[in-house]
Amino acid sequence: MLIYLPIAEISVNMFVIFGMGAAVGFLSGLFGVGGGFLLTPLLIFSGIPPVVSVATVTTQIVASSTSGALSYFRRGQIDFKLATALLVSGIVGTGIGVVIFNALRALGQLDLIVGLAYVVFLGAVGGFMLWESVTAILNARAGRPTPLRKPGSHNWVHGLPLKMRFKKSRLYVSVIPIAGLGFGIGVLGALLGIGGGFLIVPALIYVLRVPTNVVVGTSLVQIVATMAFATVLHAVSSQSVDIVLGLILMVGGVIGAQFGARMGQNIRGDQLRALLAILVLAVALRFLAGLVITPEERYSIEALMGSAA
Amino acid sequence: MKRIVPALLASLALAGPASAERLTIAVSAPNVVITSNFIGAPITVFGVIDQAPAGATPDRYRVAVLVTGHDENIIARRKDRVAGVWVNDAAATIGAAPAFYALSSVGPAAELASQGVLKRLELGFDNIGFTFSGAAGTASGEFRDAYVRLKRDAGLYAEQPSLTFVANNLVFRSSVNIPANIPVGRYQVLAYVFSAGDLVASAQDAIDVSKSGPEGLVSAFARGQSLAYGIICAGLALFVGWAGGVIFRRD
Repeated sequence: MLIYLPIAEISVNMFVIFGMGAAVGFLSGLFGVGGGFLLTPLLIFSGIPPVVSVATVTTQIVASSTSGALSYFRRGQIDFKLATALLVSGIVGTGIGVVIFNALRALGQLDLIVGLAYVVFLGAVGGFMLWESVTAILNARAGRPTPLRKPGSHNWVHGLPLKMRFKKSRLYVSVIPIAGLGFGIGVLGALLGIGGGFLIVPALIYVLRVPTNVVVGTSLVQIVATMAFATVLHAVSSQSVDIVLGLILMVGGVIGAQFGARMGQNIRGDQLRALLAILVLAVALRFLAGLVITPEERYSIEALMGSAA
Repeated sequence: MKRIVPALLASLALAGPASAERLTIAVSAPNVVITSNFIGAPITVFGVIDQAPAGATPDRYRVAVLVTGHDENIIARRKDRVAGVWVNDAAATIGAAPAFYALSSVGPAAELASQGVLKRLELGFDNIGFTFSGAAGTASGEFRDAYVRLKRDAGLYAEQPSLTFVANNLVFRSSVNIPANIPVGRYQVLAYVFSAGDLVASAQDAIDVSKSGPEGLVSAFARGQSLAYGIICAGLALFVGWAGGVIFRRD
């Protein structure tokens, strides 16, 4: 069933879009990630203009992260003070990300930078995760215990000034790395149409030593807030948030996530991480191919804003 | 494009008293409404040549129907390989570029009339009066060709020898496909009758393409009240997420 998208100004098959939302929702439920890093490229590869894809996926991330955040909230696994610190800096980062987004678009280099950023970030995160999870799987096979990081261990980050106490996370840590992290995720989220869960969760665990039981819930709260802000900013600055596209994706995503979450409970953590790593690397490779393979069409055209009579 | 009616009238006056033909056209659907399941629409332009000399048959005339509309300024970019990666490199601005251009004619457009007349009426892709500005070293022909090719691929530019006369009468019919991706706006329908290379009659009409119903309201709202629209989008996302969490609650 074809449906006309009022902002993208194209007709798409509703069930294909719904299926994409559901499939990405399933994976996000399975792996506990937002799925923006999968959904945005899928939409771009299926012909939705990149500007509309990035801007609209922010709404889908808000929806899928909200259901997740709610269930963590019921279990009391959210550090609101930490989430607030992250999102104040995240909102600043989002604003700057949207400015960069529009500047790159005007220069005609948005697709290039988005592609390069996907290759670099997904490649690095996917590679690290694959290495880490395969090591864990091999250790488990050989019967060796996986070396655990000591919860109390400190690194250079804990020597920074401007310390703040986060009771829920049992942390006494400088706000500088927290602000930097929130800011960076905000910029990337607005620029790439990703929530950044796959970046922020490892950073909170490995850099700040936030206990794992509050990490996911806290990062979801931060993602909901920054992405909701990104939605509004994209709507105002580039007017490219397509509410029809967004709604189909959200409904598909929320439903798919339920099934994914159920399935995820039956798979071992290290195997799950290895699968996710392969998926992340595949997306990175797809972007890399798009950058280096000789394009069939070397030319592109774009109407300058405000020139239509 | 700078087609103006006075220019047409002047050219008719020049054609002299020998050619007194008059052209009347009608469009099958002057209002095209884009709805949620719009997949494009075929439109037919009918035309009648009146006051032709006694015994004139369609063989005497060449006819062209052009549907075209609102000029845009386009930035065209070319990718080049830089350090192994394909990057948008050279760029050029193409001005006065019609967003939509569908020409149908009896026989190839180039054989309708003299090159000068075709150029003036902007009939045929090669005769569209683009303006061009690019950095030094960018060839206008290259970007122009690429622009026309991309627009053809998108279904927004067409040039077809598909115009036919009805039987042996001075009545003709031309089909124009309005594609699903056409921008909203008013499009001119211009019809020209040539005889022995001269323009002997012309007529014009218009097609309005608009969005109706929810689609039109949404895009108008998104542009006019973008802050409120953005807040509604974010609010809707929060609501769907919350509703999903409640419906599928498992803990």
